[in-house]
Amino acid sequence: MRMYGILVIDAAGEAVSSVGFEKFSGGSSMLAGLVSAVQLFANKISGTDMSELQFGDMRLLLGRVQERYVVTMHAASDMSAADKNRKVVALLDRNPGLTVSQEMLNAVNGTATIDETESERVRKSAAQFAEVQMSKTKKAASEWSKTVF
Amino acid sequence: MDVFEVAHLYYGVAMFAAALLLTRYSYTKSKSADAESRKAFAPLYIVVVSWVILGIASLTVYYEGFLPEGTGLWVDPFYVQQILLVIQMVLLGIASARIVRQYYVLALTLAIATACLLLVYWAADATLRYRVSGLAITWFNISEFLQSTMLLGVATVFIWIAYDSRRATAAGLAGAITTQILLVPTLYVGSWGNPPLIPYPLNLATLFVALFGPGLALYSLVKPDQKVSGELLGYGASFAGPVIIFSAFVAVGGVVGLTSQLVLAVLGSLAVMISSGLAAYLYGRWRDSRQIPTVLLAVAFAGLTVGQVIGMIGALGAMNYTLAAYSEFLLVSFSLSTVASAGIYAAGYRSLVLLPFLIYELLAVLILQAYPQSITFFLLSNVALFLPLAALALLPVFTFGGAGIRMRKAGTEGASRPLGLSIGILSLIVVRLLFIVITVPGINPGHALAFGAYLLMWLAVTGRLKSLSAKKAMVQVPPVG
Repeated sequence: MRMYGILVIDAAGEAVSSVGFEKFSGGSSMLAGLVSAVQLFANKISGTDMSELQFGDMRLLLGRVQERYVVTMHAASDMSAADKNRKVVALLDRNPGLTVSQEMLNAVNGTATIDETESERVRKSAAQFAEVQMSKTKKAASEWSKTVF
Repeated sequence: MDVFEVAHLYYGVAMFAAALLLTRYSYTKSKSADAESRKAFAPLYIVVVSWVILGIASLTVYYEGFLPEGTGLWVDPFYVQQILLVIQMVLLGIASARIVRQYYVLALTLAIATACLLLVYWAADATLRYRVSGLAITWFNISEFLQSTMLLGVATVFIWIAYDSRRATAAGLAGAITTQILLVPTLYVGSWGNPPLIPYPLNLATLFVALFGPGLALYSLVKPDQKVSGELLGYGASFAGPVIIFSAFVAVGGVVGLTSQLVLAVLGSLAVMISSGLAAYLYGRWRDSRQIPTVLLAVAFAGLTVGQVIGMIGALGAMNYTLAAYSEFLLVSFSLSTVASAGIYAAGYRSLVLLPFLIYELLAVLILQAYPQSITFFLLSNVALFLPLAALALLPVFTFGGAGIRMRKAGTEGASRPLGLSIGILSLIVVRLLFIVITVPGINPGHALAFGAYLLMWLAVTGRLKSLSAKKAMVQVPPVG
C-alpha cells in the first residue's frame, strides 16, 4: 500500500512544505494548525507527543524532527505505515534543508512497496510449497507403512 | 583393544541376524500381498542390504582392533568402513526417498554421499602424504557430521512412521536406524593426543544406547504383533547389557585362561539380561494395569540393570573401579529403596511411600562425601550408616512376604508372586551385600549369583512359578480310581 502524503510543520504551526495534501479539504495549512495545536495540548497534559490521528479510513502518523513536526498520510489498513513514517523522519533528520516532494514520496513508497509485497509473496509461496510437500510426504509414508507393517 | 571395537563384533553379527529376520518378515508378508502392493516392500529389502553392509562395516572396526598402529593405508579398515558407511547411507536414503515419494531426498542423499566420499579421499590423500595429519581428521569429522545429519533425516522418517502406524516392527526399524547414529567413531576414538568427543567412561553410556539398536530390531521382528511401547527399550537393553559386559571382558583380555572369570561373566550377563527383561515386562504390565507398585518395580529393575552393568565393567577394569563401585552402590541402593517404596504402597500405607527415598537421599549424600575412598572400607568403618539402608532393603522382603503368606492362607490366586518376589529380593540383598563386604579380584561373584535371584523373581513375577508348582502338584496327586 502506498503512502499518500507528507507534511512538514514548523514550530509556529505553519506548513513548511507538503506533498499529497492538495486534495485535503481545507488545505495543508489548516491541518498544520490542528496538528501543532494538538501537539501543544498533548505536551501540556502528558509531556509527550501524540503519535497518530485517525479519521475514518485515513490515518495520520505524527513524527518529530528537531523543532518540526512531520505528518504522513496513510490508509487505515496499511500495515507498513509506521515503517514508512520512520523512513521519512529518518530522511528529514539526515537532511534538515530538504523540502518534501513527489520524488521523495515515490522513493519511500517505491522501495517500501516492492520489498513488502515481493518478500511476502515469496515467503507465502515457500511456506505453501513446504506444507504441500510435507503433507504429501506424510501421506506417502503413512500409506507405505499401512501396506508393509 | 577397546570396548567399542569388541562391541562392534556383536553389533555386526546382530545386524546380520536382524537383516535375516527382516528378509523373512518382508518375504512372508509380501507373499500374502497382491502384485501392486508387493512393490511397497522394496524399501524393506533395501534396508536389509544396508544392514548387511553396516554389519560388514562393524566387523571391519572389530578387525581393525587386531592391527598394529600405522598399517598401510589401503588395508586400513578405517577407510573401508568409511566407504561402506557412505554406501549404507545412500541405500537408506534411497529407501526413505521411495517411502516418502520425494525425489529431492534422493538428490540430497547423492549430494551428501559425494561430499563424504570426496572428504574421505582428501583425508586419505593427506594421510598418505604426511603420515600424521590434523587436516585428515578434520575431513573425517566433517564427513561423519554430514553422514550423521543425513541419518538423522532418515531416522526422522522412520520415527514418524512408527508414531503414525503404532507398529512394533516400525518402531524396531526406527530404533535401529536412530541408535546407529551413536556409533559414530569420533565418539570413541581420539586422534593423536586428542581425547574422543565424549571422554572415556561416559562414552560407554552412548555405546550402551547405540547397542539398543540391534536388540530393538531383533525383538520387534521376532514378535511383529506386539504393541509398540517402552517395553521394547527394555528388550533392547537386555541385548545391550550383556554385549557391553562381554565386550569389556574381551577388551581387557579376560578370555584367555580364566575359565572361572568366564563363567562369572556369563552368569552376570544373564542376570543383566533377565533384570532388564523383567523391567520391560513390568513396564508392559503397568501400561495395562496402571498399578503404582508395578511401575515402581519396573524402575527398580531398570536401576538394578544399569547398576550391575556399570559394576561389572568396573570390576573388569574397563572403567575406573572406584567410580564404578560408587555409581553401582548408589544405583542399587536407589533401586532397593524403590522396591521398598513399592512394598509399602502395595501393603496399603500410601502416605509413607516417599519415606524410603528420604532415607536413601541422606545416605547417598553421606556416601558420596567419602568418594575416592574404598567403598567397602567406608561402609565397614561406618556400620551405623549402613544399618538404615539394610533395614530399608529388607522392608519389602517383609511386606511382600507377609502379603504372600496372607494370600496363601486365604487361598487367593497368585500367592506365589509376592512370595517369590520376597525370597528373590532377600537372596539378591544377601549375595550383593556379602560380596560388597568380601572383595575378590576380578568379577564380583555377587554379580553372577544375582542371576539366581533374578531368575526366581522373573519366574514369580511372570507367573511361571505358579504354573511350575501347579505341575508339581499335579504329579504328586495320585490318579483317582
